[in-house]
Amino acid sequence: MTNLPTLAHIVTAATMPHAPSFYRDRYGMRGESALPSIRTWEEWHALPRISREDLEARSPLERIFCPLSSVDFFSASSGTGGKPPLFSPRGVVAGYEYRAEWYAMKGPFLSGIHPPHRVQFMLQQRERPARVVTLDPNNLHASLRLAAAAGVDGMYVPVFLAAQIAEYLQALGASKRVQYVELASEQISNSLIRRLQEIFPAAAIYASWGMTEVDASPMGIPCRPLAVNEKTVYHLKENIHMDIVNPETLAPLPLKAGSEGELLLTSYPESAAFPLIRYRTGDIGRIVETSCKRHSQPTFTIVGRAESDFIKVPGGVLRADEVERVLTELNPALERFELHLHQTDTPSGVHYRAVLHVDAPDTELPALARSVALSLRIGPSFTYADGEREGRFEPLQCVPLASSASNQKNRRMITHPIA
Amino acid sequence: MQTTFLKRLKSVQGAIPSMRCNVVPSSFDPTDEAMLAFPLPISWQWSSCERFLRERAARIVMTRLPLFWQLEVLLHDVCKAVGAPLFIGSPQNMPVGAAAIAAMGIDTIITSGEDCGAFATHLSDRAIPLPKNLFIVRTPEESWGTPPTLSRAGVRIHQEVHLFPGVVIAEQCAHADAGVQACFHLSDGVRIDTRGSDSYLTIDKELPLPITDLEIPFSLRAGGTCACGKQILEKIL
Repeated sequence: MTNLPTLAHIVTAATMPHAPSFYRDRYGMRGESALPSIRTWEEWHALPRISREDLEARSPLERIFCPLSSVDFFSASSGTGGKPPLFSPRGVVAGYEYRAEWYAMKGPFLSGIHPPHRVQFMLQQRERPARVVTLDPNNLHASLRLAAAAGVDGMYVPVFLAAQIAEYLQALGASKRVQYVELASEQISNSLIRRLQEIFPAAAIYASWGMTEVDASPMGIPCRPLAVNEKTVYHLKENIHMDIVNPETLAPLPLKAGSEGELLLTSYPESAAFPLIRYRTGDIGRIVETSCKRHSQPTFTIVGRAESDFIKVPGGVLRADEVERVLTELNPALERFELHLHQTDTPSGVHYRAVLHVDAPDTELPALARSVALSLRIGPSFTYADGEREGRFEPLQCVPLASSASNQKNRRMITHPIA
Repeated sequence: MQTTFLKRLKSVQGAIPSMRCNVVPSSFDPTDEAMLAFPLPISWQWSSCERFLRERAARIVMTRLPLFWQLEVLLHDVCKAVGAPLFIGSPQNMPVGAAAIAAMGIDTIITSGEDCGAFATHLSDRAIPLPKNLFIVRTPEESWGTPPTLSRAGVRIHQEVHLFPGVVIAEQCAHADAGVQACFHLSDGVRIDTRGSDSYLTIDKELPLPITDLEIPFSLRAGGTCACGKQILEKIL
């Protein structure tokens, strides 16, 4: 855990008069008003939190706390609430040093989480030949043929593509040399771990927890390799502070084993383009150990998402306002709904099935489900029906709202754990 | 592509893992079953791109090149050298590209001959002005002319022809009045020999697999002298 003077210094730097006004505005500072006082943990916990909506409300150029020429790249993540994507300035090129504990970095590396030049930097820092193959999700086979020809022995890839990547590399005879597989965030099923272990017999498999809007992402780095029936646990990366709060009251919770709540992040690497202070990740985490056997450091796991109006799925985001738009366009009376996302573990990875519980007594539900799937946007130019066609999602179903099993007040978007 | 060269390229595929090199595809088409990995030195640089970004004082750069072309790392090196942040767009996702231009005031796009016209139309339909710098990577086979839809006041277009992604063989002249018929010169270190109606390409640069006397599927010939003093390159199909 970061010490209080360091956190106070971050707040001071972010609210200086010459800095962009983002935090001064957020903290209600006007003119010469005093900087927020951070002398006690109570004062730190009282400091306003930053949400994704706060970031979306400001242009990415207003969130740059360094010269523009020091920004390394801009990342984009799917917009929520029908807004455009969230563009985030990123200054940190480093951040993959933790791999050195697990991976010799002798061969080329397949970069499936962009930008690939951060892998180049990692290899240069370790004085290894900077050999990087960029995965192209839109031209998966073409990029994997290059990866096979290059002889990649490590990779960092999204969970939802992992099985496909493994199977194609195996078909190309390029899976046996792979030593290191890192999966990016998301829930990882036992069957996927088994499949990857089978296809990559020489590899250990790891997971990291990251977010595109956080400089130095991933924030959660592997404590140990993934194993069937074991929790995916992470350590917090250096220069990132974590608070854990009750997701409903937002009251701070103690950082002790078993504590479970929404994770707030404060990310302050020296080269960060934007200092993220008490950022609501929307992820529910649980402290697993206060000191792990291998590193004598605390570990945590991600158990799900806090209540929100969106659910991340492969290829984009299911959004409550988008469901509402589609339903009311089809029939203005269709206002009440719950969308349940069910996830099923299969040998080829997790399958997703959306079930829309809707109050539509005189409606033919299969036809409604078809119409919703065709219009429901997951990304700017990608619908649920597109995902069905690509095999990412099972067909959307509509059922009467009365049969909803959520029993959760005011929740319209519900994710069920992997079955 | 000349069969002999492809045979040589095929014969080195097995040795690539032990070479200190990166790879780019031998074809720009992801569906090309004959595509092989072409080895490029790790120290390879995209100097023509750096020159353009420097001359145009690029502020923020967006790439819309297909990721499987493997040019992101080279382009990032260039952006770092000129102090311009990079945004990685996807040719398959025009709405995000348009939103990025609107949100960040991106002034430079690195795009392909296949993408540039469609993306310009996408922007125009949404009343988003075309950024002031367009850098277009063309394949040897496609037309090298400037699409009329891109010729706008205040927009500077630079085109270059790559043999493989990252291997530049011809560049549009910055001094000539490009118009629709852009004027191209051979890149530094590239030679063309014409024998009869056939043209053969040689690249005088250190490559793991040298490109010498490579027959190209069209004729290239010198077509007079440009205002800059260099020979104008004419492509004859």
